[in-house]
Amino acid sequence: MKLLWALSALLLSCWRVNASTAGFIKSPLSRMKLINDSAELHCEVIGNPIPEVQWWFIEGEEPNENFTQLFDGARDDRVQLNATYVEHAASTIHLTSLTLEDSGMYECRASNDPDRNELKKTPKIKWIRSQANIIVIETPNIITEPSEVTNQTSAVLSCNLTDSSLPIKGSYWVLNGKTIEKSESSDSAPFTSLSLDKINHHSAGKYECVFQTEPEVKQMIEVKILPHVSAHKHSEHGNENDVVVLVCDSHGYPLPTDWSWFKEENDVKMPISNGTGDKYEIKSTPNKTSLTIIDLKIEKDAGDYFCSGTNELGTKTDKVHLRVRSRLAALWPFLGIVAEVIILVAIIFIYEKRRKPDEITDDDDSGSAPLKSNSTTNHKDKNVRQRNSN
Amino acid sequence: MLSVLDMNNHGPKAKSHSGEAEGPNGDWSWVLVGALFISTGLVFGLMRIMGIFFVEFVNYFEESSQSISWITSISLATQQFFSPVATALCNAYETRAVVMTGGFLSGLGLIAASQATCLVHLYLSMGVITGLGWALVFTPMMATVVANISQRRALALGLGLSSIGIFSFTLSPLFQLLVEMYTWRGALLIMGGLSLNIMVCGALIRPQWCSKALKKVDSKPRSSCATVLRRVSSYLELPVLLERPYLTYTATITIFNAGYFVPYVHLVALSRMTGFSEYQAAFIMSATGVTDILGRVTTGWFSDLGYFRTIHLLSLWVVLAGLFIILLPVSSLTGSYAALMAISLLYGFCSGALSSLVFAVMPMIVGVERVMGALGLLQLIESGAGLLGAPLSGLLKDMTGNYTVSFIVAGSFLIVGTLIMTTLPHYFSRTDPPPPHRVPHDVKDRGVHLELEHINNSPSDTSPKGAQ
Repeated sequence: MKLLWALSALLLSCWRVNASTAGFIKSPLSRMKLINDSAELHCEVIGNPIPEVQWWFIEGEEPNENFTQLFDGARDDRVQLNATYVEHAASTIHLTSLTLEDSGMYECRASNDPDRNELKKTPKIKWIRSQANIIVIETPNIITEPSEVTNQTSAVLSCNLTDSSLPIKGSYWVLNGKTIEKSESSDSAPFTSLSLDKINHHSAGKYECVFQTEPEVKQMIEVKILPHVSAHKHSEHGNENDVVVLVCDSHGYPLPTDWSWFKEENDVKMPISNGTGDKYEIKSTPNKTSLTIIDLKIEKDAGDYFCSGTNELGTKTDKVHLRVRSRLAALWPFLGIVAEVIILVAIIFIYEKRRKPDEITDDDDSGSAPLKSNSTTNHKDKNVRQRNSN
Repeated sequence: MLSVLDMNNHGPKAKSHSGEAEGPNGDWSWVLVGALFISTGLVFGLMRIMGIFFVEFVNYFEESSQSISWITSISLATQQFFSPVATALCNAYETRAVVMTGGFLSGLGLIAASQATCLVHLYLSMGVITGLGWALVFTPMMATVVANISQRRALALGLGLSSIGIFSFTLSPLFQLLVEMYTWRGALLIMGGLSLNIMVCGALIRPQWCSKALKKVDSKPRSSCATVLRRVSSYLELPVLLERPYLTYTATITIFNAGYFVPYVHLVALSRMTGFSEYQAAFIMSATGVTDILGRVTTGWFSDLGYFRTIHLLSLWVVLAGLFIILLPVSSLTGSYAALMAISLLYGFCSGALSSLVFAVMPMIVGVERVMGALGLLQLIESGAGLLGAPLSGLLKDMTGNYTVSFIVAGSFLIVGTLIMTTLPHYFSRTDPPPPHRVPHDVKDRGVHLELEHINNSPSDTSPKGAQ
């Protein structure tokens, strides 16, 4: 009898040797996040057959716990689930636009037991679980001084992190998304400042002071100046009846919202509008504007052109001087050079012809020398063959 | 009958002819060097300046810079590819006529380019026509100088070739100004006009200087297929391809070409990668250009002094150039601007030195009367290596991530080439061997023989100072 039991136990274990129970290879990690931030939990499970993974949200304390299963699209589509079941199970849950109510315990449950979804049986027995906490905290208030810089030549920016119990490891400053060198400090004080000695189009922009806490908190200070408008080339040349493009750029912050072009006539700036008689075309983007002029005429189109860029603080202008060259302008030097070539070649040939009579006895142009009666050396025809075939 | 008598009359005339072309009383030979100076400058100097138009073309035609850079490649390839044709035409007709036609064509191509309305126009005019014109100019002029100046050949060549650097250096800002003032169309027109000056240089070539023309006393008025083929092959100097010394030399020069251009193409990029600014990198290139000019002239003068055989000097400069090419990435690794500049200057000197000697050695290998055709074929064959060399080094750089390997490979090409050159016959002898000359097909008269021998054996590159 004992032998029978032992044998059947052995058989049972052999039968189940291919199957293995589910086990976590990656568990989700707890996180602390700010309101409106997003969080991600990841969990990977192996087993044979491949286990199924579910995510559950646990509110409350034992024994009054409230279990809610999370599906893709839950919580007004702020929850996204992404799971793959290839060789092993991997599942990621994304929570976006976090609120204070999202704080709590999140549980990754996995099971490969075929009976796992039987309602008559207690789930706890068949599912393995791994938990992680997500804590959502209010964004700590950072007081910035000043809140905005407009049209100053220099300024001192400072940030003060109030009402936060988070430990501060250090701080640094960022300009337009790029960390400013030498602004990093490992001071754990909730206060940091940055001084700008010269505010120009290179140093204007969006500054952010970042405190290295878990999670990082930051606040933005905008440094605004008048637009810095500059023409690509202050002196442009165009060919008659041809096309020319005048270009102006702007750097700095904020970039101009409006661009306009003017032409100076009799000391009065006449505005140029897009498509005036198909002659002008203006293309503008916040940091660049171009004026295309077609069918250039020497008297009418040459002169000074002005580009103006306007942003919320004001307007700046730059000047481009356009010169229209006659199409034939280069023809005169060219004709001069051609004349010089013809004269030199003529001189050389004439000189040779005049030396020829002296050299006729020295001329070793072999047998055809006496036959070369009408020597063709004084022709300017370049392709002449000087040999007479016989 | 008549021809025999005339042949005999040649003897003393040949003496005076050759005496006139060379030596201190050969004033006209210095005029020829001047013509070489101007024409070479207008060919390769202008080719280097083409880069100024790139930005204008890219903006005007709205094409990628790769398609624009094809223009220079096409013109260079056409120039090298048609070199044998040019030299054949010289052998068949007058050098003067060929060079003047070449000058006309190169000017015509640029003038046509100034009216271009699409990129293909530029390819055809600035690329093909101008390249063809340049082919008809460069090799014939070089061969004429090499064949007709024997006493101070290397110095003449060095002076003549120094114009490339000088022209590109001085014309560069001039053309920038011309493009500003007259737009690129006007500047191209003026460039075409300047190219027409090559015709003046061509006019300076005396008609009797093409030695092959001497032999052309055609006693066969009818042309049969075989005769035509034989004549064509003799104009192209095809038989020379069957000679081992020529093949060895050509192989050597081809391998040189594979490595020689690499620093010119990649030096700026290498300096930028080492961390220097654009201006510093450009300055290195300009300084290298200056030492290049110096190298050409100095080596010409030194080689003519005759202490050493030209071919030994050539090997020396090539080995040094290869060494400095290999040292270039090494010096850049140290990060020192002075080191990189010093090695670049030394490289510039050696590369200028070797480029003028390459042509000076040719008569020793094939004989003066075949120099024309031999140089043409050489240009064609070496063009392949030149075309492959720079992309190969670019490929190596892409594969390894930096220029070290490509520069080392380029330098080793030069050194390997030198080793091949040592297999030339009589390489290790202290004096130049008597240059070969072949018996011409159609004139088997001893008179001509004597005359040719006289040209060949007249004071050659080893002066009496060399050990005899």
